[in-house]
Amino acid sequence: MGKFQFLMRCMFRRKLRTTLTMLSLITAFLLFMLLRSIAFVFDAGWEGVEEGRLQTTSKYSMIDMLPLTHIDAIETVAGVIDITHSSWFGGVFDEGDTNVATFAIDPETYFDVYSEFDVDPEQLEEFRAIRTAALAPESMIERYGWEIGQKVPVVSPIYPTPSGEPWVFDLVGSYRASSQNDGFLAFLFQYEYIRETFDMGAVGWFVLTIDDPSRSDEISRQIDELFKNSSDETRTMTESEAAKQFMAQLGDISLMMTGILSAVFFTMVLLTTNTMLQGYRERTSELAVLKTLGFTDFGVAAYLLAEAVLLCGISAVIGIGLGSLIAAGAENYMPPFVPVYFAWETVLWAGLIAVGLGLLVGLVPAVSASRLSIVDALHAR
Amino acid sequence: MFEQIFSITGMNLRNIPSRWSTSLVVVVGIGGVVAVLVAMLAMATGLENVFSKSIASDRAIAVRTGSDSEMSSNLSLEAARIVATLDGVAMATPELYVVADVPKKNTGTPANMVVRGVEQGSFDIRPEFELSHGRMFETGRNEVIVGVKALAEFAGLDIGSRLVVRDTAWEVVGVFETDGSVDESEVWADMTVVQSAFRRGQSITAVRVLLESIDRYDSVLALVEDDPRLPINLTREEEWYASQAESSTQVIRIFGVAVAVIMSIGAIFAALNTMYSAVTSRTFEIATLRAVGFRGGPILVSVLSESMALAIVGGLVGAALAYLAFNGFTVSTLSQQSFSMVAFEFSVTPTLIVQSLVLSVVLGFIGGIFPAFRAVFLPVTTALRGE
Repeated sequence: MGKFQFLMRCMFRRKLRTTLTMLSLITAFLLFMLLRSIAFVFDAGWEGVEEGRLQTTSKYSMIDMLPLTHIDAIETVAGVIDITHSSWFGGVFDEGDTNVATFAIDPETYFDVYSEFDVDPEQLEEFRAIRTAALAPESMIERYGWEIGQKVPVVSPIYPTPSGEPWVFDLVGSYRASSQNDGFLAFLFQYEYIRETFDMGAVGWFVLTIDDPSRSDEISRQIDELFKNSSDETRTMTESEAAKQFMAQLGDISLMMTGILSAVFFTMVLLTTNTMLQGYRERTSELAVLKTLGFTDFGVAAYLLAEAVLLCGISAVIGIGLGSLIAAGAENYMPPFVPVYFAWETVLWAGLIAVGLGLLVGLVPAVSASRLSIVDALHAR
Repeated sequence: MFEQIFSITGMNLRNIPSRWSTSLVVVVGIGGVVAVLVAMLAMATGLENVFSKSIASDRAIAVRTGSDSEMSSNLSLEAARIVATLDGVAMATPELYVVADVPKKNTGTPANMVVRGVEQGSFDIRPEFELSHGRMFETGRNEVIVGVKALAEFAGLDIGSRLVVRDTAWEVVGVFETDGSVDESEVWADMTVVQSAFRRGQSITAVRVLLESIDRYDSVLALVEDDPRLPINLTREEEWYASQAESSTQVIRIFGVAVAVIMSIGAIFAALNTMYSAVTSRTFEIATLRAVGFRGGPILVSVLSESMALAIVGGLVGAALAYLAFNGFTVSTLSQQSFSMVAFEFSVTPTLIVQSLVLSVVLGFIGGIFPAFRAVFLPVTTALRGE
């Protein structure tokens, strides 16, 4: 019998107890994956995503709008490659469902700046050609059960149509983010279409790419300098910094998640230690036999530790797997401000916690086992 | 029968202390679930309270047709004057709702703070308004009064300090309260000063309306809809604030319940584990009881009551922890609809505590029922023969 097989046999000595403990642990790791996947963005912003991308908003509040003519001035700054603009439309599809993002954009330049968005060239062509065209993220199309070619009515409290009827867009295609590092997946349509009917006068914000991410501070300063003392001053920062600031407004979500997870894992330590101790008490005599057969004190302790780590490890693997699956499924249904973000970092943390938890709960039985006196243990039987 | 139930249950409960470490697993497991659930729901309740406290049944608010918040509304001052003349309206006052980036106290990062331009009418229409410290701003000057919750959430709003908004310095001259309503998260200043500082010309965002009586709403609404000069939506405060609260609280509630459900599943496994081992460790004892004539029912009840008793203790501990840690704790969040910070207090209500205790009993029941059946169907002879 190999060492591993021996370990498995020991672990499932009491099948029911081990299975129940594992199920509890699996639940804990599943919850960890889900909560951390949500909290990740709140902690990290969209770090690493397209570092060389800046966002220019109005100086005083991201709610204020900026004149479209700013684009020409910003383009003159050395280091700026592509620039596009976007405006928050506040559109609502169904009655009351406000959890969607709708942007009025410039179809010519938007996908140059957001190069990580994949869109079919023919559909993009159509999007540019048809005034009333719209593109939706694949996840959104799936969520609402739309079909390409259909009309999508959208109501906007900010930009109502003169008649009060909804705006109607022709859904000409879909797009997706090529990596999980997507920023904001929104329902997109032509700014010009809106402006023909409703004089928006200005745009929400500009997004631009720069040639050298290390110069982002310098370029940001230069851009803001351009409009200093004008009636429309700007504030430029990297996209991930902007996202981070916005997230901070949503409240201390990450702290809340940490609180919940601490409560969960505290319970798990208690529960698993209890299981391990029960297992230990039941087989003190067996451990004494092992020692009689020549196992060292350390060897016996190592077996018990390994058993605890294995128990936590197997549970972690299953929990992480299930958690990732659920997170992927939930992604389409989350509000745009609360993205679910799968990161290997999260998996790594879960793994570390599993090992740490295993060592922690295995410690007491392991130490006791190494101190076990053969004579006493066999005698007690 | 009952005598048997009482004697076995009593015996079980009395010897819980000798099995305290396994029993603690149930208490802590269920306590954790309850604490998290109560905390999350207390947060949602607190947020709802903040909106519902603003309500007066004879008041209404008018915004531009199609707008769902003051943020996206835009009206002319004239609209307010016209509404004031309508039959059935006791008072109507214009208000201008704008947003400024002000650093939050705890994070230092800028957040959207509401600055409300008001006229004398805004105070007359809100009998709950009370200036608790300092003095009122003077008309035409860059002075503001701040709500108590805004004072707590944002940096640099103490009386006497200078608040820089849009490169203009405003002096904080007073602190106001409005009986815990959402207005307390705002900063108020003179209408004309706000209009010029935020370059809003003569425009306003909303008209606050005091009706002559509650039942005049329908007739006033009809007048508004017939008047082509009034492109406005008139909504009773009750409905207005309910819709403002809904989108924010829904997310918290759904999230809280989802987390609690997952944690509950984990806690059930923990309870099952504990109760199975409680039954296993007493195999011999239970078999003896059966042999001397105790029936299955009382044994079943005894195991179930043990697990439910532990669960209730867990529920009480969890609810108490949530209450002590969170009740009255003030936090703020971004209101999704109006895009501004709303400060509110966690509110652990008796209803919440009762709900959470019911949940813990249910969890205790599920965790106890399977082990209880095992105890009942234990083959007496093998159990007595075993070690």
